[in-house]
Amino acid sequence: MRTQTNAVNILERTSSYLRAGLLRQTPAWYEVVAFVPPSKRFERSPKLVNPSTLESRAMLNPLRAELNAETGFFETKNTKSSRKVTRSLYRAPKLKFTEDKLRQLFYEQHPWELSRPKMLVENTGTENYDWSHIQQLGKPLDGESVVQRTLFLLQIKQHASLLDAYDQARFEFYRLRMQQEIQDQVAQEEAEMFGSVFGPSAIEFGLEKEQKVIQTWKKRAIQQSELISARTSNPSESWTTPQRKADGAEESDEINEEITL
Amino acid sequence: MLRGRPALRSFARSYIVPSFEHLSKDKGLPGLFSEKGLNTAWFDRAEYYTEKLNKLTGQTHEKPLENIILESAKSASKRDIFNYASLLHNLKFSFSTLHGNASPLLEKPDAQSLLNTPDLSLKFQNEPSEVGNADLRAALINSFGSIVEFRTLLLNSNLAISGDGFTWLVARQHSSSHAGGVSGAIEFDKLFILNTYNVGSPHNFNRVGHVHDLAKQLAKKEPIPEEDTDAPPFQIKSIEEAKQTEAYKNIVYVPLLAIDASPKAWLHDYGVFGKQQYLDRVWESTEWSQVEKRLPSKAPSHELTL
Amino acid sequence: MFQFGSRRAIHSVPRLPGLNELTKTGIPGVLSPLGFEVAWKQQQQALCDKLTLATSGTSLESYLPFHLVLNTAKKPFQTNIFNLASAAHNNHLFIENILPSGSGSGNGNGRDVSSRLFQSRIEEQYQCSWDELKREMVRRAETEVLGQGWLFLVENSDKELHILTVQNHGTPYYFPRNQTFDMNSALSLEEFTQFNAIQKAVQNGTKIQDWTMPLIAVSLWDHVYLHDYGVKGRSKYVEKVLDNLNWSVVNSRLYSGQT
Repeated sequence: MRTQTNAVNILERTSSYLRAGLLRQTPAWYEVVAFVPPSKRFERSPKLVNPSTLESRAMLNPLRAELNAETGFFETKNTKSSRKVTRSLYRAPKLKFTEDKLRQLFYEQHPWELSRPKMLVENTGTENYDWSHIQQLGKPLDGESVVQRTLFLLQIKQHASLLDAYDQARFEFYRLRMQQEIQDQVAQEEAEMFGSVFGPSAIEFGLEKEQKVIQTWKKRAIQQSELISARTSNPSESWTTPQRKADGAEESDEINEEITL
Repeated sequence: MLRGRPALRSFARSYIVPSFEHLSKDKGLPGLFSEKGLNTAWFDRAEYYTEKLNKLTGQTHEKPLENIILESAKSASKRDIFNYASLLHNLKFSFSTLHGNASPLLEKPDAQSLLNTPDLSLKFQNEPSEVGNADLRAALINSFGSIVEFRTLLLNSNLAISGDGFTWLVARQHSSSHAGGVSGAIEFDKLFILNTYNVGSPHNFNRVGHVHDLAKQLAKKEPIPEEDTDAPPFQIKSIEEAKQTEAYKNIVYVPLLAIDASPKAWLHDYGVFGKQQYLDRVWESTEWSQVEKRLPSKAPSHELTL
Repeated sequence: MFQFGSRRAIHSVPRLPGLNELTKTGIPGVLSPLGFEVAWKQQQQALCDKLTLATSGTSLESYLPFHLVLNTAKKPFQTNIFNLASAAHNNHLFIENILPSGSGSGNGNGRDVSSRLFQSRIEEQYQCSWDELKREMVRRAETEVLGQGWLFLVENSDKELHILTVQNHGTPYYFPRNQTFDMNSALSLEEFTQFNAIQKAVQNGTKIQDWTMPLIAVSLWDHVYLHDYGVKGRSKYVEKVLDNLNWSVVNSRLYSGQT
């Protein structure tokens, strides 16, 4: 298939239109596209190195130097393995990171950590933290901190095994979380002891709402049970049922409306 | 402001600035305070609070501080006296167990220390040991799970106080039928950690119902309109309300240990960023045998074993 | 008011005019160079860093401290953030109104004075001079704030001036979080009545509108005065602050009817 270049040349084309006066107004996207021009590299380049492991993907087996006794020839071609290598050379390599495994492990062990709100908008993208300490200015303490700290501990060879390093990072994380938790409690207690007044808490709000429903329910339950007791205590009930039933139904409808209000 | 009553009696009785044998003005407290640091943290404050207290009491009576705290806790008119008595008492209490340690004083930590990674060790210097303080150690482990847990809770509680205050280790006195104790001795069932702020006192169980009383007085003054009747029957109490009505009902807390959180104590020697380091040093300087001496006998119904 | 560093989520200490000069000389009449170092540079750094640690990565990360104060004031579980933000904001208010006027040297006699508007406001309302009000402010600070706190002269929505004492990290902007009452010792009936009224207002769920603005802020925190004045010297320090106010800042905070 011929390479489609029309789309990516839009900037050049628009520029010449502008110069020639075919276009009077600069389009709104013009400067943005000029600032970040589209890529024009269309050739498929072989991916010689796996970026996740930095291992070479294109190494061929060395040829044997001595004579092949069976065939009586020297080996000059690396047929079988070369075919295998070249076939996968243009495919996206499989990315395998230790971080991913750690991340999965951490969030499996601490599912509630996922319930903490997280900013998804990135800051600048280039974040260079010094992981010789687990807390970072500008980065919240979370599972990612544990992962990065674990890798750091492995790197400086403080621990030989991944799990040992992970455990240390995890325990550091726990200590800090404990500190935060007490901090939050004490700060609230302190504020109240100095005369801060807070509105109803979430629990109180919930209770209040619940109480309203319970009260309407209670009204209705009393009416209903009165109805039932009247029905059972009065033997003549049995032959006047149809009308009563109709009354009862009306009443309960009214109550239903009240509740939905 | 200060009700400076003229001294009617010919002889003035006044509070004397408290002093401890282990604290001296020109030496500092090794491993914890420098000379100037100790002066700010202890001598100046003790002197200042005593002066204030003497001025306020008009030098006419000399009740023990505890009595003042117990008697005037609920009275707004005696608030100033209570405040300084309580401050003095708390300060005295916290310094009574600080005996210094062998390590040299630290450099003041800088802003970077806020990011310090917490220490993960499970054993710290100067823990209440099994040899000397077996009772205390057993009680702590029984109440908090382990010494590390106790230390973490104690120091973190203090670290979290942003202004003035004290963190206390208290023993809860058995409330029910044992109240008097078999032989008149106080008995406890569990140890707790408690924060008080500013002049708050762990002794103020006698403040029960202070807010309630005030509310009653207020209601008398201006009768509340009827709207309150259909308020929902369940009301969650605020922390303050809970403290006033529930926490101190039949319970007496016996303080064993106090740690001062005020910047007056740590600012001079440890700097703005150094509260954590100060607390670590306080732990190392604590004289646990003194703490153990204050431990009441344990309640018979509770097995305080390891 | 507060600037951000290059990164969105990091709070940084606002740069004061003539900072180099201040580092060398301190604040004449109020703080020594070392006292200034602790009171402003270190303390503000500590507050900013702690605030960054507490907010980064959450939806609050790009707010200014002032907005953080208003945003977290009603949420008890965010008191820690509120404390830090309120402290950072108050401390900035404080340092602004004691900066030596005319950031150069030689401000002995060039010191500006309270505006006529300010003085007439005081006279109208209290029938006393600024000096008497000053004495009252010192007294209030001494009797009402035992631990850490703030002393404010505020202007409320009716353009009345009031002295406001605040415990710990209270804020003048929202009265349920003024933190005026110290519940650790006994309350008088009068105080309780006020407290009760605030409680009712909050419980009713009506929107609370408080347009109080601080005119003069004085820090009563140990970090500010302990180095220069010692434990017993707080009242003296408050006096010094009130004697050495930067009136151009205070006057500009006062409502003058012009926009």
